[in-house]
Amino acid sequence: MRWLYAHFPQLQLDRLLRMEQQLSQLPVVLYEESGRPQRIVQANSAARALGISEHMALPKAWLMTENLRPLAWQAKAQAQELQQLCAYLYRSFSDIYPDPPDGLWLNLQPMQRLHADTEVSVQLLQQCLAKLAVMVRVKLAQTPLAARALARAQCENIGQLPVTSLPAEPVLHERLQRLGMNTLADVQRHPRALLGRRLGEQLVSLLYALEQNTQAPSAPFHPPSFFYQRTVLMAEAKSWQALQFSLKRQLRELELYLEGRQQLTCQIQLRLYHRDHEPTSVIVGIPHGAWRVDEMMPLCQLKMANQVWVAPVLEISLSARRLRAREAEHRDLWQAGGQYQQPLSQVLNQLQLRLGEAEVMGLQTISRWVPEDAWQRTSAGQVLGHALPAARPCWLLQQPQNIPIDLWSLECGPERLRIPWWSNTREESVRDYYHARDQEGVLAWVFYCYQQQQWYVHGWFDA
Amino acid sequence: MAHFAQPLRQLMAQGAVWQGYREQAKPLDRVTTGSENLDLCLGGGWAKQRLHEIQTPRPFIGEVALCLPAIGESAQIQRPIFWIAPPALPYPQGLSQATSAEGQHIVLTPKHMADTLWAAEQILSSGVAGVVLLWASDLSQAACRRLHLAAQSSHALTFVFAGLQSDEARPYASRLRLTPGSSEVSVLKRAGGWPVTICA
Repeated sequence: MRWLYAHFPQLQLDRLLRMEQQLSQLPVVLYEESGRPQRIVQANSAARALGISEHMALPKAWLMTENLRPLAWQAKAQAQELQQLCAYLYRSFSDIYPDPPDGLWLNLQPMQRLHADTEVSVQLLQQCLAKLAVMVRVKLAQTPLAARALARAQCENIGQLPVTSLPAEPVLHERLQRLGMNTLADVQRHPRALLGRRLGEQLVSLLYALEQNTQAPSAPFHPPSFFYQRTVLMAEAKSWQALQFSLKRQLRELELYLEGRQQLTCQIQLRLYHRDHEPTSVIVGIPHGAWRVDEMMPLCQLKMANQVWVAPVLEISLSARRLRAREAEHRDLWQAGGQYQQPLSQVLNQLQLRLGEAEVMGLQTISRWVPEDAWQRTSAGQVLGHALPAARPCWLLQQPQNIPIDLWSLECGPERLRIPWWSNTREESVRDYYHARDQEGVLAWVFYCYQQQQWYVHGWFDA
Repeated sequence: MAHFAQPLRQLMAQGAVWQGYREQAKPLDRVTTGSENLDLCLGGGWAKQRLHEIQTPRPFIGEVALCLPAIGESAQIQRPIFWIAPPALPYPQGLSQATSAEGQHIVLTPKHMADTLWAAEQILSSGVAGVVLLWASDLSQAACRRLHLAAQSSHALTFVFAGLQSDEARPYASRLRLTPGSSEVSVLKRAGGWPVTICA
């Protein structure tokens, strides 16, 4: 009994019913918009009680009851729900094979190393799914196809499967029924060779697949390389305070995700879904990366606290796509006084969020002889780097200023630098640099430019 | 006596009352200023966990030179050095020659004074900095007090560079005034001594 199939007959409907609790009392159906007549895809228990079932035409369903609430079925939302479900179950089960639109297989054989008894695995699955409040039908079998057929037809063993539930063309179903075979047990009684001659090769290969083919039915589920979660809020949120609780829960999920992969996120994208408006998108940039809830929550708070939304928020989705590997933090174990120390990246994130990304920078030297080119901005936290052996001032004026050289007294120099046309100064020139003191005796780094025949002060020695 | 206690408590909350029993049990760590006379004057050098003010009539006359040994020490213990609202670009080539190539220098250029003070307070209260160099003229008493409280809880050396200020009391541990072109330093306030003018 290696294969388990879980069938979710009303996956999308369950999510909608979680969103609006009062709808669960009324008969609600999801119908497919294309096709004439429009057919019902999913119906809740109240609707089933009135006799409405899947594949019934919508106008016929309207005849059953006046209080019907029809909603459009969306294939994309269904696929997303199934993906989220697989991602949720991936925590407990290793081999998941999704079967869109509304089912999935679990291969229990690898799980036997963990849970020797398949019963334990089934119970674990029921526990996980119970938290989500989805309707599910679970069946175990030796082969994946058998498990699927059993779950969808709700039979106990494959002998009882009705012939119409077999995955084959309706022509074959008709022929089998005309021959008097209504369940699979009837079909299995006859020798295979005879069945093949009378009814075709398709039936024989189908029987083989049902009884013996234990190969994986589809591509296995791989968890996505980014984090995405969309949750429905318990109540409408009109302001930031109402949103905080759900957001914190989602950030905790993100923390678990990042912890498991030892990664940091550099950006969090929040989307707030309203009833009749376009979703609002809020991007929180974290240039130096963060993974803990205590770091991410204040940043989100800083960003969202003063925002006003056009309409109350019904759902919120969190996605973190810019992920980066985590580097080990170096902490001082023996801190005098045992004072709390935030990690540098966290402080820099906060500073950049408030002041702006361009206003916080690190400095680094580059080995070039042109003074304007001999440094660069880097991300904060990098070390300075080695300097050229020639004496350089501590301060540089980014625009050299004109000076009346008669009032200055030159000390040492000259140091001739030829500035090429490809440097940042954009013009080719030859400069003679001197150390000079101005009227008040303050030491500066001045130069004479031969092209413009002027004296400029370029920097100050702080001495 | 109850109606006298209220204004006294207000004064204490403002920090205008010095309470003798709060004397530090353990002496503060000090870093040299680079000049022996000045070190002697200040009781061993710049005290960590305190604010120090250096007043200059114009920038670049030697105020940062007094802080270079502190920057070098901070680079050695691998703590970052923050430059908040400097008047020009701190040139990495010059800094690397004067201090060390291993320093982590972070320059902040906030657009508003409120952001400058907020950034300084954040950096100090996080405890991550080694040296904080802040250019802010005309700090109010309240702002100064907040920075003082934040500095006390961190291990950093904080320097505030300003223009010439009036005599109003401020919670700095030491206040110096430099004159361009001369090596005279007037120490307007220091821990454990009267104001004095020395040759650094």
